[in-house]
Amino acid sequence: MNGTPRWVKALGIIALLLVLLVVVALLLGGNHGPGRHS
Amino acid sequence: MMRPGLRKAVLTAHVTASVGWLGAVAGFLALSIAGLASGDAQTVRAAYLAMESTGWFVLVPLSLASLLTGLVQSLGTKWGLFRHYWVLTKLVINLVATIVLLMYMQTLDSLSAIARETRVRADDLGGLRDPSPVLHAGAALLLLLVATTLAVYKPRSLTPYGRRRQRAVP
Repeated sequence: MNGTPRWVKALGIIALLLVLLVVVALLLGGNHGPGRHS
Repeated sequence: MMRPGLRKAVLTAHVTASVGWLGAVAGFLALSIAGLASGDAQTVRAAYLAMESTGWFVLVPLSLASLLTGLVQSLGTKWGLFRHYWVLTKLVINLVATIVLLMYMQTLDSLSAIARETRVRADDLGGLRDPSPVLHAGAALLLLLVATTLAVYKPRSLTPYGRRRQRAVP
């Protein structure tokens, strides 16, 4: 029962990858948010 | 600790709000796909107007109700908020989804304003067709499905804080 369960580690890794993906998309795209519609 | 009757009532409210939120996101996803893919200008404009209304009057209230009832349910029962990984994970999912939703409502307001002003011409919808509602709704649907699965299976694993609490109060 001790230690972090495998499913928590898996979800954590997936979340980290998704956050990285979003950050990269924002940096490359650079036009996120309501102001991008001119 | 809450009395059994009150606990059941709060649990009912939490399940209703959370599963209702999931269903509303599925409906929103359908509208966002129609807004992105339909060839009919009226349908595209109607989809963005409906998405804004659905956001403010269904998604936002249900997300806040889910968060609030979840907090009451966890703090008022033996589960606690930080003792079990599954409860903590649901809290993080709920907070992230609610915050992103509230921020994204500005974009929806903006898209909806374009839909209101656009003259009804199929070749005039370039600024309106936007994949971001599909992406946001798809991500929200996945997150809420994970939260629902955790709520049903309740994988029993204590956090370090939960283990300390368990040792302190046998």
